[in-house]
Amino acid sequence: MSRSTQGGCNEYVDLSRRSFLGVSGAALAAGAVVPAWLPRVAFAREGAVPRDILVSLFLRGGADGLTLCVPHGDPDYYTARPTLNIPHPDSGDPASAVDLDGFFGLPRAMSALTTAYDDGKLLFVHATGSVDETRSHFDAMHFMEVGKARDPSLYTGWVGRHLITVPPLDDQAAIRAIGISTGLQRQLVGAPKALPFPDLNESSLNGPAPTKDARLQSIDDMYQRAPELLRTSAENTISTMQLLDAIDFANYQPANGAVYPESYFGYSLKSTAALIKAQVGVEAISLDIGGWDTHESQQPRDGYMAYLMQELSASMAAFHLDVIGEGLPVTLVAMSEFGRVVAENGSQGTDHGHGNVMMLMGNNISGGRVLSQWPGLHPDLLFQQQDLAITIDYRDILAEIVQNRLANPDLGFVFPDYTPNFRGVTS
Amino acid sequence: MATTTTDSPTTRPQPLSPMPSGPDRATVLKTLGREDRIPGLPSAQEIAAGLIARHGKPLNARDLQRITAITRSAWMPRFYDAAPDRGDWPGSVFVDQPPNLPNPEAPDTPPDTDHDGTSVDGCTFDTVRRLVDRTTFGFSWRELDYAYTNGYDAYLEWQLDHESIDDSVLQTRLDTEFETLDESPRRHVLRAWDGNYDMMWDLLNATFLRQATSGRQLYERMVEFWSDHFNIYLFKDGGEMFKPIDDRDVIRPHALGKFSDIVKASTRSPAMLTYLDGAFSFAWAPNENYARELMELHTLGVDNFTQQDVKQVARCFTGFTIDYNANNQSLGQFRFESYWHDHGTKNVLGQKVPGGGGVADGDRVIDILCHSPKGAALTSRFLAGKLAVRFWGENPPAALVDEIAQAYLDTDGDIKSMLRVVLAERWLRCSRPRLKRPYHYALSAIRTVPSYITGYWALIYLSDTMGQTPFLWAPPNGYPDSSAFWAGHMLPRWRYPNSMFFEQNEVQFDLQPFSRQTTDEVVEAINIYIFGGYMPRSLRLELADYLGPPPFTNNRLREVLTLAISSPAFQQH
Repeated sequence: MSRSTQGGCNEYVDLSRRSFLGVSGAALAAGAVVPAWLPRVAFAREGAVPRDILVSLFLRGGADGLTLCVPHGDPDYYTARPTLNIPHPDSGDPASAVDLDGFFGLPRAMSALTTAYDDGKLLFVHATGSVDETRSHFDAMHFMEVGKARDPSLYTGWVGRHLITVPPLDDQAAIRAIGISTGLQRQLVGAPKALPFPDLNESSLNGPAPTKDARLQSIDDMYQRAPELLRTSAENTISTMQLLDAIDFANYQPANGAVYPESYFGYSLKSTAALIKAQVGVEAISLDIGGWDTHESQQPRDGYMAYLMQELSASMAAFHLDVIGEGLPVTLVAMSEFGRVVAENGSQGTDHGHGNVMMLMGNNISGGRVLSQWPGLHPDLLFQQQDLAITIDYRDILAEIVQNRLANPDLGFVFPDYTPNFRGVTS
Repeated sequence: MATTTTDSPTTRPQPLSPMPSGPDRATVLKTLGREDRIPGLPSAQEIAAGLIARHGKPLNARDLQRITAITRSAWMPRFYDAAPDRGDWPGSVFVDQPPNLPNPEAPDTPPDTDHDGTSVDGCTFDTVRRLVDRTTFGFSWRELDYAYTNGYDAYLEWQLDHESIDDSVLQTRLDTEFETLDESPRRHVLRAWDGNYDMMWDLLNATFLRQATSGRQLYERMVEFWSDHFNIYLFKDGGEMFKPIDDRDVIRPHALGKFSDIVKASTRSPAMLTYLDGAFSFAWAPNENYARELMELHTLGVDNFTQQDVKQVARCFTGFTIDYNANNQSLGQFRFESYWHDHGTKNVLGQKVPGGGGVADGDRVIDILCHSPKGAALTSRFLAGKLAVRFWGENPPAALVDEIAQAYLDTDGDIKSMLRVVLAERWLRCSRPRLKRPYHYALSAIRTVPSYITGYWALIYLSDTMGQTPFLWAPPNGYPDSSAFWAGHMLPRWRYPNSMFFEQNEVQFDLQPFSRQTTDEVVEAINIYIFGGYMPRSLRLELADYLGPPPFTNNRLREVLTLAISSPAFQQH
């Protein structure tokens, strides 16, 4: 596995949690029908219900949507951000934005996504988010992932409620949803057969490798005689372990020359691609990328946030080539709990704001555009005199995906007490 | 695919590659000291950063640097095939003398699915053993010896009289290692404003050390119980500076005291005021969040009050806030803003709260919720049910709940009196096995195998992988107390002992007691240390089978220990 050319300086590459030293599995398996990184996986039955697999990215910390997708056509943007702006595409500045549609543009650190955008597979939705006014990370993430604000009785997530109301994509599936995390993300809570795995390649017992199988066998034996609850749970756990263990994530070869960054997030998204292609019946995968809480030294052009954006965009661009480019039925959504205050603060950063940008990618996403009812950044037009207003509720977007791409019409259950207004994000 | 709205230029600038180096992130990463970590396991920084990223808490460069300064890597090089001499380990804090098998009456073949001598009718004949297992974070020989020597009631009273138990060794260590534990609220706020979260990490680490090594085990179990009951999320804005004070000044002083005292202290806790949005609640715009949770989760229980009660209670607590004035010595302490307070007459649970009471309205509300006939009847039952589940097991008999509730009513909410009921021999004899919650499970492995704790990051990381790190449950209902909830994912629980024995070096285990000559002797040592003499027969056979004939390598012994700890019998208590 070659190093990503996107990684840049070595310190950044050091973020990688794993080393990719594996021999190329595909090379060894030249001519074989089943790729070598799928040594023991039985492919799912043909002709399952047409329904997308959901990949949900959460940008934790409140990502600055005005940098992720720059409204360079709004002059008030440059007034509010005298130093933390992305220069206008026509400015001739080396850090200028890459224009998307004459009004919005991408910073250079995000420009790896222009391929997917030009391909019509990537959609930006701007001035969107959760309309609740909280500025607490904790509340905002909770409300967004639950799918409803300020309802203390609602603890399950929107993806969890979606999954529990549709039959499994594959009724033999050992697992239906995976959170790439140490703990299950709130959005997946309530899903049947949902487990967190911080690293899909560490889905087996640790400890001395030579005795791993023998120890798991011993554990299997012990739990045969356990009380019902523990016995059932152990059976599910072991079957999921065996399923994931049969996929050689370390030697997975992305399609179309896609190269994922060697960061934990890049590695996680690459593992997600491998999991999807293994066709083991997983219907939803949730991933997180943190670090967006840029109160100081935000560095949107180069430096801190630029690196983070590059990690994000390079990962998504690789996923576009590798998965979407293969025509697979996958919808990816990326969101953050809130945007950031329009005006920069005194510490070269930005504080917790309100409206933000969402990204959607997929073969049935009506992409190649920025969907927005732009409210404007003039001080008189801002939410609470400081933030980008929200003109599209994020549930309008998610609900349309749930109904049109995840084949679940039960929107009243997935998004309680909300009547979504479809915006034509799916095709 | 249509590109409907774009009038994009025909040629685009190519993505920049590689990115020019930016100072901050690069500088930060250079300081991370990751040279001594092994691939696949996170460094201490990544443990902290990962925990924080998942919870959306900002972590700045300075914090990362501090974490580096606290500890080198939590992980040790794998020594799968080596058998290092552990003879120079610092020794165990628990075991001074080799223990004797305590109970000569243990049967040869205890039932397979049980672990403490339960007979066919589901009741144990060794109530002392069960009492120790239920009142500790896993028994150590210190507790078992004392209990067998002095008997059931004496042990219980010893634990209830927690201040009489000498904890000076622990206290000395806490004083030495954690400078923030005794600091003023003002100091904590100033630290937080300065981007320094030492008090947050100190609280997590001190909690681990206390629960693992304190002799006051029942007291620590109750501290945990109330920390769940009055849940506060450490990573909600403000939690990092206020929860450590809440732990010290609200939970710990009253954990075995009078229930209403905790509630009253909690109404004025800056951590609670922040967590449940009480700090900014005004006469003209009362915030109902705290009022609702106070009744639903802290006292009466769900469905035992009306929305009208919520509104009235919210009015009573308007103006309860925090001193945020940096010039004040009382910075970070409770403050009552009379101008924000609703001075009118209120009515709570049908009882009048007279106007003009000011800050006393708060205590008046608590008195109604905890002491009035209606309030006490509901609160006592709600608490009784939770205590019964925690110490007896799920679906407790109604008579037990009634009896605990009656103890509350008889003593005006004396916590020890309620515990004397739920922990009474006649009730505990036939209690139900409980699946240990993850943190409890983690601690019990450390407590039963002789060990010495030198660092904390590995446990923070591993408990997070199992889903339970103290003070990091976001919703206000506290970590669940249900076996079904925690049984969902066994793999992290099976990985845990392997990480402890093969990957980390912060908790050091003394394996000398298990280094025996024959298979039977090794298994018997496991039986005595880890299962207190009640290892199920099937497990004994399984472990003997895995161990095989001597000689035993160091790795083999460790592997057998991981299996014992992974076993269903050890997952329960």
